[in-house]
Amino acid sequence: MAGSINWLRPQVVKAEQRFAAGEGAWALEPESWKYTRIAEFLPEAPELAPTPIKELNGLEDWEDVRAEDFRSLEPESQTLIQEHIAKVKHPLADLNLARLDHGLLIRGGTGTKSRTHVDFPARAANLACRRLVVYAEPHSHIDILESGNSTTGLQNLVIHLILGCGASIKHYRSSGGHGRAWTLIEADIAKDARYELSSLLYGTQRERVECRLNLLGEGASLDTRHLLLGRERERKDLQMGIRHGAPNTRSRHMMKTLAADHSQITLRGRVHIEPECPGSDAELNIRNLLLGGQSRINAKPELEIYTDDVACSHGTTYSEIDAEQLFYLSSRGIPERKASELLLKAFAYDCLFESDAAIPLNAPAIERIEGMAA
Amino acid sequence: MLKLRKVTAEVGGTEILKGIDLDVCKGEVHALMGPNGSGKSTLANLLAGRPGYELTGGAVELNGESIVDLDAEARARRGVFLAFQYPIEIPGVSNMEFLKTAVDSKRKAQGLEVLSTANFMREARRRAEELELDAEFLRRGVSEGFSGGEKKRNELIQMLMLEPQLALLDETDSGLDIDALQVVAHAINAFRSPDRAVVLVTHYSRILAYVTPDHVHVMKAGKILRSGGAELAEQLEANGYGWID
Amino acid sequence: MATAKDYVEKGLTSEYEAGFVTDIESETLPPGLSEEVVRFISERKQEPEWLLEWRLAAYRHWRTMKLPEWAQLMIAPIDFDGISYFSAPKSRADAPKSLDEVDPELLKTYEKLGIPLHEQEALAGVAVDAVFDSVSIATTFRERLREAGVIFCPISEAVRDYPELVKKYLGTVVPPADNFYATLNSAVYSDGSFVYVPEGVRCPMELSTYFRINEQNTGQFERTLIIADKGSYVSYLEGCTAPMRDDRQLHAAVVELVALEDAEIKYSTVQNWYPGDEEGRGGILNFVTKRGTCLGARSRISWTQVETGSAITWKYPSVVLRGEKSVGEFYSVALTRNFQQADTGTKMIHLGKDSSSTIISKGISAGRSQNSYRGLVRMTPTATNARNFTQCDSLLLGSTCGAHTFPYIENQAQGTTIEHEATTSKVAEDQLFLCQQRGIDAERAVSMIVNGFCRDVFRQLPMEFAVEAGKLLEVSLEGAVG
Repeated sequence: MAGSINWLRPQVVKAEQRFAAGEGAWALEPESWKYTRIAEFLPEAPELAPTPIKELNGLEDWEDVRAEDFRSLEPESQTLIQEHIAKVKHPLADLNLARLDHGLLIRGGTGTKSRTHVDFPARAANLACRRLVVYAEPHSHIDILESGNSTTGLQNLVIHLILGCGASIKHYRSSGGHGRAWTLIEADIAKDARYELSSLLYGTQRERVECRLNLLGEGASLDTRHLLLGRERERKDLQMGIRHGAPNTRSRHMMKTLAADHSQITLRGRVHIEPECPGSDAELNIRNLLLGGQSRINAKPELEIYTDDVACSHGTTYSEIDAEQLFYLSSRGIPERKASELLLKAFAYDCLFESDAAIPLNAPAIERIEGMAA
Repeated sequence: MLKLRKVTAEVGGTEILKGIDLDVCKGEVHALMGPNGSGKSTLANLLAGRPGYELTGGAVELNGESIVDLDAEARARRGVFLAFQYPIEIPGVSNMEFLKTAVDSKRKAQGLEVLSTANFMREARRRAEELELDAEFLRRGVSEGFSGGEKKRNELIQMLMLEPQLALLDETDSGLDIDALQVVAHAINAFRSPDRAVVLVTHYSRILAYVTPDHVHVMKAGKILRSGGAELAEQLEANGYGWID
Repeated sequence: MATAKDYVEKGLTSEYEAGFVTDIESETLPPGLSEEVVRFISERKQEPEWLLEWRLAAYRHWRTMKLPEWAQLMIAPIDFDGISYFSAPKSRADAPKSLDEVDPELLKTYEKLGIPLHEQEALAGVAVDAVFDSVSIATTFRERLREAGVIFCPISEAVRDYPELVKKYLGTVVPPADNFYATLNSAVYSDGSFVYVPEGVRCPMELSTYFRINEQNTGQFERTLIIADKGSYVSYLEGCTAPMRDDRQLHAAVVELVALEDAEIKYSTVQNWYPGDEEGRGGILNFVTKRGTCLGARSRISWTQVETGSAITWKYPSVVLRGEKSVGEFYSVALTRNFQQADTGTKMIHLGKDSSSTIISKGISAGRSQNSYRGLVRMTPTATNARNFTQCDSLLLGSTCGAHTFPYIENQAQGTTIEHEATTSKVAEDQLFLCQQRGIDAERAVSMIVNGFCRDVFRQLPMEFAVEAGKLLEVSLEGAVG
């Protein structure tokens, strides 16, 4: 495929400079790095010479969606990216931009319905920097099915979603693989728009997902479900920042974990309700099922509230497989292993994908759950 | 005692009451009937001064004085009592504490001495027994974890203790089994006296078999369509609301 | 018609009732902190060499430490060299043998605060160790306690009279290098209470200390050590109030609790220090380190606190659950108004098998205040089958305040059960309407609803304290409504 992203050059150069200067240093939010070492998500030799853009493959259009490579964008779309790309502020996002391999834009035209399957292929590179920009114009509807294996090296992925008034996005993520992965999902959700995120994090040695989800217009809503599976010495870190920045916004969050062996899972859910946002309604739930072994699960559900007329709550539980349920199933002749498999799947059930198109993406996660049954 | 003239009112910007005239005299029991959405509960809440219930026109007088500019507390002090259709929970505040505070507030406002705790408790227990509620009930939080029937009876304990002039009972009979209904009816009959008036807001005529009203009004779409004596309720029972039009 | 919002937004205006300054000559060290100051304090208290060394080590370490900044607090820079680290009433040299010898000015102070010392001996079951500034001046009921074998005295006396006990336990729960403020306290602590309850003894009365900060610019650095030996029980009450002044006052106390096998310690606090004025000027800075160790099997430590005062509160009464089947509890009400800031909560560190902990926290914010719950529940790998239940509720009065919850939950143990719940609410319009419909005025109604909100915590307080706590909330909420 011909073309280049030279049109993005000024932004790339600035990102390089910011990254090299350590601007917006990690120290800005040491709290969020309490359980995870940032070094795990930095390239071993961070020399920042721009790498040549590689051929992109693995993008498949399901319907009439406009999903375009950065290298073949119309000038209008280029302007759109230039406008929005610097709005994502994070040192690792600067690294992402400075070393960008793949850039993708998904646009949903006003009033349209579309679906896109994004599959980032496995790569053996030391560092793979990918960026997905999703621009949902007012009253558009986009389904995103995102699957793909991280590289054996380090993947740095930034997903930036911009939702116009009344737009809706359903985003299904299925993330496995063997290497290290850092992902930032940033969503700006306008009036009456809705973002639904379902995410299965089942592979990858070191994985950290940071979500910054901003409800910016009245009536905006948000629904997230995350299932994290840990085994062996895997370490997973999910950081959720939810900002209610407008009246009558609503958000629901569910995080579930299954941790075995020596794995470590860290969950942080931060609900922030800004001043003068009456009618905000947020609920955050964390459910951890302990499977034995030497695993460690850290949870930090936070509320930060500056408006009085809100309904806001969170709940966290740690528990084991219910011995009575297990006994009940056994008494009906189900072998114990099978019974515990059933109970684990039942636990994970409401985090699995329901949409017909996304159901096939459940398979690797289900397989992993089955393997965790004792 | 209570006089309504051309009362119009809205809730959340929607006009619900479209011109109500009503006279309630001392000693009378009025049944205010009508299908769902006819505005009868709105009227009860409006009279009690509930925030969100806006009077848009007309006059409301209690004992010859307008009460439209008074807030809920001031109306309560003048003897207006509302038994809530959906009783409100106040977690952690015991029934007894709530009742005592209310009774004390009323007595203070009237320049009376506050009842001693012992006397108050005796009185409250007696009322609870009348309504066939366990004394333990008074120690629980206000409507916290009560069954539907308990909540309704709890509203009536409050009525009996506060001895209002005008009791507005908003669907106090709904959701009760036949035994509970009789207990509630008994309490309302015991409350009747020549100085007091009762406005019974109800969907069904069931309770009127035990509490005989002096007047029955049928509401629909924000208006009183028909008024009459106890026999009107019987006709409604036989023919349903459709018959009114 | 006035709505709930109208009532609560009028702000809280009740004057601080305990705001006055006692005119008593004090012997006060000039401001500043150095090794000489530490030596001076130690010498004045005729301390043994080991304690001086202990203080000096803490002081040297403190010099290397940085001010903690992680709390959700806006703190104006504190000039630690502008603080005087020692102050004692002049009459201390010939300390009073009985209440009759106590300075009448001082007695008046207590009377204004509602702690009439003369009557206290008659008060059944309450012994008071009153701390005025930094030195204990009057201790009652010592005799009766001695009969039971309970030691209750100023810690400076305990260093003299029971050196083995102090040496064995001092700094074992809160090590001298624990945190910035605790380390500062270790270097310069003035005095505080010492309690030892011997094996099998149930302390015959509630032990109680009233603290009072008086000297301008005098930091208060109490140090309290309570040891409950095997199978013993003690309930300790701490109540505080301070006079009004403009300069910020630093208060950095340390409380250490040790519960051996089958022992139980209940520690209750009602804190009503000067919170600053309506513009947020003045007020006490309350940076306290409180921690208990459930050292023995089946031991139990329970913290109950009602925090309504101080400009800034930074306080996390914690329990380290070492013993098997040990129990830790934390019950807290924190009310902030005007420009008050509170960052408070607890840490439950589970090490023992089958240990369990309960956390109930109720935060009420009004005015322009900020109220944060910060807590840690940690299940270490040895804490098999440990349990925790946490309930964190926030109530907001008005739309200019903030309520925050920052719980950390770390689990590395097997078979654990952890439940955490948090909610945020306001006084509902219809609750207020119900009260008003029953003739209860808005102010009384809000106070009643807030009291109901705090019920689960008040239930944990000893009777007389529960009444005081309820009253305190009422006074604090005065003017919040209507």
